[in-house]
Amino acid sequence: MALGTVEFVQALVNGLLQGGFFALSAAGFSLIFGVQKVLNVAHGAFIVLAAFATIQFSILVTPVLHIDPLLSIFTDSLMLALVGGSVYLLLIYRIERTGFEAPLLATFGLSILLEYLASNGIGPFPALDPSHGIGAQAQHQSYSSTAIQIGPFFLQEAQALAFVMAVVVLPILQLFLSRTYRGRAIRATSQDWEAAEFSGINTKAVRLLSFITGSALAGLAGGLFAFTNSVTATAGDEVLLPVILVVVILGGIGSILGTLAAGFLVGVIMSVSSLIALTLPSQFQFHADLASLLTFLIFIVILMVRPRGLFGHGIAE
Amino acid sequence: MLSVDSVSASYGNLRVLWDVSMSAEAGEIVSIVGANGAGKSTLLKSIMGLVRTQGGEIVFEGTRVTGVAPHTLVAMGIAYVPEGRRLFPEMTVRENLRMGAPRRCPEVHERLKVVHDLFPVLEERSFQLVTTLSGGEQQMVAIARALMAKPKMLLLDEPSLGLSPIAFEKVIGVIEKINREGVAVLLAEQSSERAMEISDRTYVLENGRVAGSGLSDELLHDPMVRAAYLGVGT
Repeated sequence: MALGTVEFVQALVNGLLQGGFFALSAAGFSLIFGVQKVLNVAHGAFIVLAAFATIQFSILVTPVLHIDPLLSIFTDSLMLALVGGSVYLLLIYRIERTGFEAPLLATFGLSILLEYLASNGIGPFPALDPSHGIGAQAQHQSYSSTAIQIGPFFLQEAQALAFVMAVVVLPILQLFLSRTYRGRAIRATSQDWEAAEFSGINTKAVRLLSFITGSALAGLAGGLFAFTNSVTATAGDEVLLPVILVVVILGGIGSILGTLAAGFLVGVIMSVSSLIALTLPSQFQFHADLASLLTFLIFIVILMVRPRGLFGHGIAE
Repeated sequence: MLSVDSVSASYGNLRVLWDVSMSAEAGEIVSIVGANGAGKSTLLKSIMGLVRTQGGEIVFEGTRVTGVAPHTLVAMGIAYVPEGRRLFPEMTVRENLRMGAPRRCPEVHERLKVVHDLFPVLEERSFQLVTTLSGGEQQMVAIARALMAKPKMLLLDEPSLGLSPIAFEKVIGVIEKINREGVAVLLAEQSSERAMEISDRTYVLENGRVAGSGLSDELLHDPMVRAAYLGVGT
């Protein structure tokens, strides 16, 4: 199949939109890792938890109260802020000073627990089963099939919303980090927590704030995930976490604007790779994997040239 | 104002302080001298809540502060300038200074003016990253950041480290000026003689224990102290 200009530009547009979602997903992870040096591997599961909540919302709340399920992204964000805050106070706070390993194992355990709950249902809320169960049902009701047409190009509505959210929310977060006392306290803590503490900053409160903010971002991303993708209980670990890690490392750990740019880059690479895969003769049999293959190949090459990522090396930019 | 009573401290299994007792009164400069590894830094860190102490107690202005978080001590009026400065490397001079003042600080501009009057060069360097400053200027930022908390007592750990004699003399001048304005100073310093010259009282630490204490003037002229700690023959 010949590669036309329209198809190529459409792939670029799709990549940018998808990249917005990647950036939104990765920003919270990056913030938490930048400040606390905690690799929250449950971040993907947090996103799935929010997606799960949105799917339940679209099934249980929307038909009764006639509220647009899209609005659930804000309740997701609030819910995840609470979940994140609780996880920090009950779990991470007690073990974070012991080193890198304990929080990593704890969040790994937490992600397994969340996956288990999502695949078995939580209380009255049924389990995720996107192939023929409720996940698919919510997908069907969702915005995933609605597209905005601009000239010859199509923008999937939910993806476009993720893009807009990313380009609005992440620069606001960056402004918060660089212009407000609390934001600077987060940066100071990320640079030297002990110095922050003896400069008069309550670093426990700062860590809690960054965990809450990072988790709230996961909530926002998760709500949008429910509209753009087929949600499975294990999507957090299998689909999201690898991409999040690539975006965070390329963006420079703790750099919010770097994460935004890296999200776009990864989105475009994946989208264009998929398009190239489609144009290859079928005997190559690359189709499904070429996007991931190329993304990680480019990722490795970039890291060989710039080991600290493409953009900056800290929250301070 | 500050009293340390029989405080011990360890790093893991390694005990560094043994039953150390000392005090500092309002308006005083108290120096803590001793060889490298004598426990000077650990004593300041113990007071500041950065090292967990075993036994004994630390009291500041009548309140027991043993085990209190460092940021609470700052709010109570103790500020700390650590060995090696520990500035926020990815922040400008102004941002570093701002972090020394509390979140709600209506008088932050007045406090900035005070530290700029003490260190005029820092005003010129306001928007430079701290890492682009010389060692002496970075030491000034570290002291100025601590002063932004408007402390009643300032703990200084090895301010001479990495400074030229001229830069150190400037820092000494500022310490004396801060003290004249009513801030008590606890100065841990390997350049013992200079520290003792500007202080009212001195504690000599040896292997984590107080080996001697007294008025700095008297200790400076004590032949045994001079021989043992100042490297001057009798």
